[in-house]
Amino acid sequence: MRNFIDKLKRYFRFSKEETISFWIVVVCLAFIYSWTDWGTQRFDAIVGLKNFLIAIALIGITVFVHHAGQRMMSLSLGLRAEHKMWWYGLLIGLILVAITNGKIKFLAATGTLAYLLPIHRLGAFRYGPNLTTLSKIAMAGPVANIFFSAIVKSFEWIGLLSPTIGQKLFVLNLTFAFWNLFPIPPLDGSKIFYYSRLTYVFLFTAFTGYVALEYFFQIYSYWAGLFIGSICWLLYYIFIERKVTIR
Amino acid sequence: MNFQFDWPELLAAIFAIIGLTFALFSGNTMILYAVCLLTGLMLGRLWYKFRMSHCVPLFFIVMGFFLGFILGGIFANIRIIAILLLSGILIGYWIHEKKLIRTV
Repeated sequence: MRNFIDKLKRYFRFSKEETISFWIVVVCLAFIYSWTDWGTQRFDAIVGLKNFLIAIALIGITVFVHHAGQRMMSLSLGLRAEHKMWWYGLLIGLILVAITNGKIKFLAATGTLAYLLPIHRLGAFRYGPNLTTLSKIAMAGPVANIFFSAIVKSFEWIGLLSPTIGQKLFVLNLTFAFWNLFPIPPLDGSKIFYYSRLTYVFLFTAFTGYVALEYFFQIYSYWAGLFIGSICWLLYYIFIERKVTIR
Repeated sequence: MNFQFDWPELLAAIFAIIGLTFALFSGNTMILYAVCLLTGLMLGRLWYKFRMSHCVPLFFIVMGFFLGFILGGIFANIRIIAILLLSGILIGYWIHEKKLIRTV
């Protein structure tokens, strides 16, 4: 544990380039997120700016949780994660939100790279960075967002957080995790997909199952989500993956 | 049609459809111009990435997109669309060439 804390102190910090990218991503995603909040009947700059600033705070927290999860996981594995902006993602998000008038808010604009920390990787099985370690790091981002959303909801239930902000942050974290699980390079989903299709199917269906249960039945259960994921994993294995392996 | 040899034309046709869709779904002229500039930025990045290898297919793609976009955005000013697309491409290329933005 002391070793991990030491690694956090040494390597957790964002570099200058990463900080700039982080803020560009946060501002652009906040603009996309607050697209429909610039006035109810007609355009209202003051209301819009207020909502935009709230969106910056919410998106900032969400992106930071995502990045922090990945950085902590990578440090525990003896690697250092670097977050880079995904220029196409930002532009796709802006174009989609403009042409659909805010109906589709594409919130994925970062990619993760991992560098070896030689001294912290000594003695590790398969020394260099490989697909397994990369997928674990990638997985940590959306998983951190999902856990964070549960914490936010719990705070809301016990009255420590206002329901408006709590619900917004809760939905935003789940939405951010959902978009990042898409198997499009350089998003997190692509790294998990390249590592193992079965793992990807399990994670994605468990996540969508969890969200669907919340949305349609107001059931907040990780176990139910994991159960749905396991069923889909098994079905995918029986009907698709096994046939591919046999061939 | 031989896909192995005619893929640039096919891609251009797909981009023409994308351009047409973008223009048709843009609610008003301002959004149309903004989408045009943003797509120009994306194409500028593509140009920078493939500047050594695939300039001709990229030219077809840009022309296809432009054609689709002006067909869909016939209600807007075609000159402004052309200028915005071109400036978007040039800005996109320039910011990557000068390494003002580091991206994945």
